[in-house]
Amino acid sequence: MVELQEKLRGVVADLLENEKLSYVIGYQAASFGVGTRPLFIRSKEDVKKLVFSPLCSANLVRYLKYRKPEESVGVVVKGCDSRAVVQLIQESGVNREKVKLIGVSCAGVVEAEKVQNMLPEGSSFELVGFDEKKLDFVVDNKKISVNRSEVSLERCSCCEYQTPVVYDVLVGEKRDAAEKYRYSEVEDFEKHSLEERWEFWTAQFEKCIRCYACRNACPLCYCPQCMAELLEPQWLLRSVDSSECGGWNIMRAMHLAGRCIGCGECERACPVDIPLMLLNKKLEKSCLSRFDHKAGLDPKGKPVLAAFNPNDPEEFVMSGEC
Amino acid sequence: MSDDTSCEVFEPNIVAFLCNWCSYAGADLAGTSRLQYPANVRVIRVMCSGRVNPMFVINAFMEGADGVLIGGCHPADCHYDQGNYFARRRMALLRDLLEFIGIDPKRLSVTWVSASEGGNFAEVVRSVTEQVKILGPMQQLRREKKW
Repeated sequence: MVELQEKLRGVVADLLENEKLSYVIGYQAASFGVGTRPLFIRSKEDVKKLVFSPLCSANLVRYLKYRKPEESVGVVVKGCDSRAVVQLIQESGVNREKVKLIGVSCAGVVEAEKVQNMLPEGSSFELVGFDEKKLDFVVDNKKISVNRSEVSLERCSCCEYQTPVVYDVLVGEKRDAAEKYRYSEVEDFEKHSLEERWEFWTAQFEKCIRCYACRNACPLCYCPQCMAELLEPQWLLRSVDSSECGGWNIMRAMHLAGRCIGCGECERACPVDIPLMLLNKKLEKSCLSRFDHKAGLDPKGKPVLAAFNPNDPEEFVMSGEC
Repeated sequence: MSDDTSCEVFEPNIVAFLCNWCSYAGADLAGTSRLQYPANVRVIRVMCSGRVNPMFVINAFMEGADGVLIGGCHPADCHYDQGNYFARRRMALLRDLLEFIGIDPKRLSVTWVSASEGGNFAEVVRSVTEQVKILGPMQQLRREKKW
């Protein structure tokens, strides 16, 4: 663990000095508890704060949106994060020459909140080691191990890209993940009747408080003016009820159709636990089966809705010749 | 509406987004040829079926439509070369999503009608109206407008 982190610090210090980067985005320990928070490294001193562990679940690609066009920046990316960068490159949202990618091979991350709940109360928390099975913490001088399978994020269980798909420097060994089927959850849900589905989703949409945390956490939601907040035309009213919130959730899912790279940040950010990834995965599955398209893999590719194939399936199109 | 005993028939509201160059001209031809078709459709002319944002459809449903019809040129005949291909992908995904959250995808129809196919347009409107009539009034997503 220490080895990987030291290596990463070395790489970042090196890049900062030699590549004239304005800053490098990485992770640092949270001010309290076990979690991590983003770190913007501008000087050599800051490099000491940089950490990397399975607790680094946030997708830092989100912060690329805020860089100035003339700035060159570096960012630490895991496999899923790197796919977001590829998607941004496809959409001309990132100039590859201005962004240095520090890839880290990742065996899955864990949910800091769950870990915190499993640990006893204390004033200091330190992660002293981890392997594929467990995480070792020292809480107020007492050593405690947490079973990794109990706290790991759901999205990591079916991750196919443990090694970043693009990077300038890779820290850690390349890992090959076995191809896993991602859509069993979607298929289980599709077994329900239309009425049952609507009942489920209205209950979810009624929980929504339209805080837009899902949008703000998403690395691919970068419009300067979001359609949800437009007043002229006003697509969604300000009232928080199931129709407006339903409209918002459909809009969000459609805007990410064929673009979502499955990092699950929206769902993690949702304060009322709406299963947003279920919607995203459904559209991902549709894109794969209809258009044989997977988001965020080919930097030279095109987003699925900005491209077409004359032979796309059109079984749903009505014909008047009857 | 459905449980009252009067024999009032449900007449659906159907919003049709028709492209200026083919479907709208097709609808026009159906009119000038005096073809009869159900008066349930309200036509909105757009310059291309590729202009139809999925939010147009969602907003139509929110504001009282029971069905939405999107009409474009036949594939390869788009006035702008490729607009209808983009529309086709977009609407395929929107239909999948609507079905997934429990809205019958038959409420969102897509059709290709050329400027010379007035008869086809009338036929499509007849079958769309029939379909939506069977589904009954749309209850989902209706805007409550509490304030």
